[in-house]
Amino acid sequence: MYNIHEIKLQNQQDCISLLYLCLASELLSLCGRRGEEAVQKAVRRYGETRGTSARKRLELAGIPANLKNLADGENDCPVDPRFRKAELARTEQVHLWEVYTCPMADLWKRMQGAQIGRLYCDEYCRAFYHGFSDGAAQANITDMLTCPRNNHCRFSVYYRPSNIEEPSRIFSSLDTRTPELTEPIWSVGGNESGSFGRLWFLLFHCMAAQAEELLENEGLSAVALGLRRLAREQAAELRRHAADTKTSLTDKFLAENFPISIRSGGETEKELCSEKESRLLQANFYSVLERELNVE
Amino acid sequence: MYTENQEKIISLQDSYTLLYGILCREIITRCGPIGDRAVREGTRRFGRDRGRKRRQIHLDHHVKINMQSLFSVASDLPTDPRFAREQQELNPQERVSHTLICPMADVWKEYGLMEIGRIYCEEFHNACYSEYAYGCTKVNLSKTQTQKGDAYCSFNVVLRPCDLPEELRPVCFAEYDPFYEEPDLSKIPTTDAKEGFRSLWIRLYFYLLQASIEYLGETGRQAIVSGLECLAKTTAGLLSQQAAARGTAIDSAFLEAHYPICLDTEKDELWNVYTENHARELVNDHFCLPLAELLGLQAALKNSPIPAGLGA
Repeated sequence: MYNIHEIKLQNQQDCISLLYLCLASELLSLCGRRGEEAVQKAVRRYGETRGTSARKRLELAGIPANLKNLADGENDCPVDPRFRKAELARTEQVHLWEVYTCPMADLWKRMQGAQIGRLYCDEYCRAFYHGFSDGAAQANITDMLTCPRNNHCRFSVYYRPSNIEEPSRIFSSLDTRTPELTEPIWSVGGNESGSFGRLWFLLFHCMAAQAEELLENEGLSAVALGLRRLAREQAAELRRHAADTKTSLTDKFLAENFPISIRSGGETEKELCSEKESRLLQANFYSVLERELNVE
Repeated sequence: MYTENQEKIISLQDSYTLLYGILCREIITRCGPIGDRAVREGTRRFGRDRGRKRRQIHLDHHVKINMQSLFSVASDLPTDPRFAREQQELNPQERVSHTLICPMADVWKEYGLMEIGRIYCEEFHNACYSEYAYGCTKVNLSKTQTQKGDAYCSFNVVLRPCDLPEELRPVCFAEYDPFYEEPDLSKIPTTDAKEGFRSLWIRLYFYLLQASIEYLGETGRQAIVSGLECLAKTTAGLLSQQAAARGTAIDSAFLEAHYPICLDTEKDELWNVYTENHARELVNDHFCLPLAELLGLQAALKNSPIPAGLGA
C-alpha cells in the first residue's frame, strides 16, 4: 500500500513514461526506420544532458564527480517508490545494482509499448554515464524488464581512474580492485529532490528537436500527433487517478499529480524548449488536454 | 571426457589465458596505476585488432557486418568445449547470451588472477565487438564471472541500423542492400586451433608490450621481461601437468600440439609482421629459451643467434 503522497509521485512519474511512449510510437509508426533513429538519438540526447547536469551539480558543490558521490547525492527528480532495487556494490569506480520492479516498464507493458520502451532502455543509461563521465565510464545493462524473458534489470557501471586524465581530481584512491558483491541492499524509491516538470520538458524538447533535425516537417508532424494522443491518454489517466483517490479534477489535484501546468509551462518551458516547440505544445497538447479534462 | 583434439584446444586456451594474466599482473605490480593504464590500453588495442581482422574476413567473403555474423561466422578460434552458453537471442541486430562456464575466468581464479581477468572483461569485449562494427556496437556485459559474486556472464550486444552512418547500413544489414546475395558460408575456411591461438598469443603479447613501452618506457619493458620469465616458469608447470594427465612425456611434438607458439620463433613468420619493440627477440630470450631449459628441450630448439644488442 502506498500513502497519498507517494501516489502523487507515482502519477507524475507515469506522465514522463507516457510522454515518451506517445511521442515515440507516433514517430515509429509514421516515420519508420528514420523515426526509430530519431527516437534513439532523442533518448541519447536526454540521457547525456541529464548525465552532464549531474556532473555539473557535483562540481559546483565542490564534490568529486565519481560514481559513489553520484549515487550518494541528490537526484534531479524524485524517485518513484515503485522502483525496487538491490544495490550490490557502490564505490567511486564501480556501481552495480539490479532493478526488480520498474514503473516505466510496467506502464509501457500495460500499454503494449514494451518494444518501444526497450529502445529507451538500450540508450538511456549508457548515454547518462557517457555525459556524466565525458565518455570515460562504461555503463552496461542486460536482462531488461522491457524484455519479456527477463524478471529484472542488471546495471553495471565502471568508471576507472586509468581511463581518464588527472584521476586524482575525481578519485580518492587509484586502486582498481573490484569490490566483492555485498549482500544486496534493498531500497524502494529514493529521495524527493528535483522536479518531474523539468524532466518532462527536457524529454519533450529532446524528442521534438531530434525529430526536426532528422526528419524536418515530417518529424514535427509525428510529434504533433504524438502530443494529441498524449493529451487524450493523459486526460484518461488523470481521471482514473482522481477516481482512485476519490478526488475530483481540480487545479489543486492537477498541480500535485501532473508534473507541469495544463495551460502553459512557464519559465521552465521557456528555458528548455524553443519557440517552435512551445507552439507545438500550445496547438497540440495544452488545448486538447484542457478540453479533454474539462477542468472544474 | 574430451576427445584428443578437444584436449589440445583446452591446453592452448589455458596457455593463452595465462599469458594475459601473468604479463598484466607483472605490469601492474611493478608499475602501479600507470601500469593499469597500459594494461587497459594494450587490451583495447588487442581487442580492436581482433575486431578489425574479423570484419575484414567477413567483408572478403561478402558477409554482412552484424551481430549474427560476428557471433556465428568464421570465428578466429574453435570453441573451447568447456565453455557453456545459454544463447537467448541471435539475430543481425542482437546477441543476448549468458556464459555459464568460462574457462578463462576459471584459470584466472585458479592462479589468483581474478582482478586481471576483470580488466580483460571490462576492456576486451567492448573494444573488439565495437571495432568490428565500425565503432557502432553497443556492448553490454553486466554480469561477469570475474566479478566476485556473479555466477555467470550476461551479454547484451546490440547493433541497430540507426547507429550506423547511412553508407554503412547496406554493408551491415541485408534489408538495406536490395541486390545482396548471401554467400556460401561453407566456403569460408575454418580456423585451426593451433593457428588461431598462435596468432592471438603473438598479437596479445605484442599490444601489451607496445602499450607498456609507450606508457612506461624502459620500466614497462622490464615489467614485460619479468612477466615473460614468470610465464615461462608457470607454463612449464602447466605443461607438465597436462602431459602427466595424458600419460605422455613433454617433447617437441607435444609442445607443437599443446602450446600456442613455436619456441623456435624464427620459424614463425607472424613475428615479421609484429616486429616493433623487438617483440620477437624479447619472447625468444625471456620466454622460449627459459621454457625450453625448464622442460629439458634445449637440444630440440634450434634457434638462430640473436643479433647483438637486441637481447635483454
